[in-house]
Amino acid sequence: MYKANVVIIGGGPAGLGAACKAKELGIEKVLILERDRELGGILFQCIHNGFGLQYFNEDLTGPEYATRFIQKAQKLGVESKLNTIVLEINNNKKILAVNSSDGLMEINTETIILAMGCRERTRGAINIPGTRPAGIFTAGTAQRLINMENLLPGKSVVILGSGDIGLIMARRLTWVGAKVKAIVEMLPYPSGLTRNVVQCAEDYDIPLILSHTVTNIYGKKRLTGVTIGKVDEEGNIVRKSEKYIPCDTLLLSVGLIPENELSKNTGIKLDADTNGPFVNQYMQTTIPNIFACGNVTQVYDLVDYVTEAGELAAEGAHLYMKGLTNSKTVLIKKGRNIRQIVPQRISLYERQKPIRFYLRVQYPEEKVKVGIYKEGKEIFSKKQLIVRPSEMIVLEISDEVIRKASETNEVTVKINGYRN
Amino acid sequence: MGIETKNKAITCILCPLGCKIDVLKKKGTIIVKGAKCAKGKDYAIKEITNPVRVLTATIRVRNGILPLLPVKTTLSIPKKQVFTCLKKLYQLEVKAPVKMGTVIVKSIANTNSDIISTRGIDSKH
Repeated sequence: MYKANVVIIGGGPAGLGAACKAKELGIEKVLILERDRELGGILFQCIHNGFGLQYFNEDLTGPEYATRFIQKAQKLGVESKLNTIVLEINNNKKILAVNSSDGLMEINTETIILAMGCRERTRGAINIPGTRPAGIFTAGTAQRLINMENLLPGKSVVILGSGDIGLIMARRLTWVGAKVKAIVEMLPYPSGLTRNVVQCAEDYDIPLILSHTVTNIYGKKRLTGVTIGKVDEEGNIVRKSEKYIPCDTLLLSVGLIPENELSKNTGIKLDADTNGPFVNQYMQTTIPNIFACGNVTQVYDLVDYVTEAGELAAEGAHLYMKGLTNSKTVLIKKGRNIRQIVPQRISLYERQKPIRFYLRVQYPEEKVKVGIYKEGKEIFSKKQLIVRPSEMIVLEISDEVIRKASETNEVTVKINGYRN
Repeated sequence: MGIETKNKAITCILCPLGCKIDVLKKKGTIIVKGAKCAKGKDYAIKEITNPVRVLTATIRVRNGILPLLPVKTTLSIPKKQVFTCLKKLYQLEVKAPVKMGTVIVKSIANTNSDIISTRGIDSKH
């Protein structure tokens, strides 16, 4: 029987952020359980730069960002078990896990931090008609094959979805000698960050075809081509708009889903809009000793935010172990043009530090303010010249705003236009 | 060089506004339209005169726990040099173990930018 104060499930950026912070706060036994053969999560296959601009104020690659935290964790005395799969969480404090050296093991812990990250949507999740040939990959799988395993998935490629991984793979494929024929996006605007649209697609004259989707897949053993068609405002395919593109590979970059199979069996409440646990500002779930952070709670734009969420979860676990409980909860409701928001609730503690909300809008808008309203009255607002679903909005609210919000049981966050 | 006219539509990447900027280069003068800030104007001028990028790639590793070593340029390099540099990198092979931050190539393709490893790779045995 193993014992720990904090068990962190998942050793990616969220888990590493949580583990380092937990040790810094003086928590004695901090254990990471990691499925892969090394810590770092998805970062090691993300060999491009653009990581750490916020957290370190430096432009790092994924492997560099991961290595900094792995080295820090080692120095701080974080323990980890690699090649280890968690099977179950029982009674909120017993973790059943297995690996080939320890066999089946039970770990008793005071607190649990869920940091399992997310998974890619596959062809099955979006129901593309057609045959079932080889040559269809999720963008992340292709990234791992090219960047870590020295395998080229194909030479003539269509990418469905303009999410960041899809865009980055368009450039990477071009750099390793493949021809990217098109990036096809169902929405009328790109799903990825502007810098990726520019530096990955425009730089290499790769056509980014908006308001289109893949309507059929051809090929017996190997993919031979796809048809793409125009999508109207209701999401239907426009008749006779279809066009055939020969290719041997189709990459899917059609969204990420938080990985919550383990969370579900604990009985914590999940949010249907984020697909992740319902948390407070310390990433505390609806079971007091279970915390969740990173892409398991919602899919973030930047790894920097994921690290911060991990650190908050560790602070939450620390407060819980010190016996500091929260007295009251304020629910955060989603108003006009808000797709999702984390945290979904604020817990009031005697000593309060500023709270950051991470939110996404449903559709793009210009000249707006993002406001927080208590019984219809504005208690906080921030002007934004433009909001887009692809760029997360970060709102930091002060102690004073939190106190105002705490006079009631719920506040609403919404997007409103403003006049100059 | 001399007298040349170049016109380019640029999306600014410096902030989430993503200004659509038109840059016109004519007889040594550059006209920038659509940039909402001074930084954006500078970016647009750089994009039409000498666009630069950080290059990240992989090179082969012998006897490593992984077959590839991720690397990057220490500085931004001219965009037009990207494929020249990639070609040089694909011809290389290093032997494990390699530490993160090791200089693999000094001043690649005379760009003044070194190529360094961005992770460590242990040897197989």
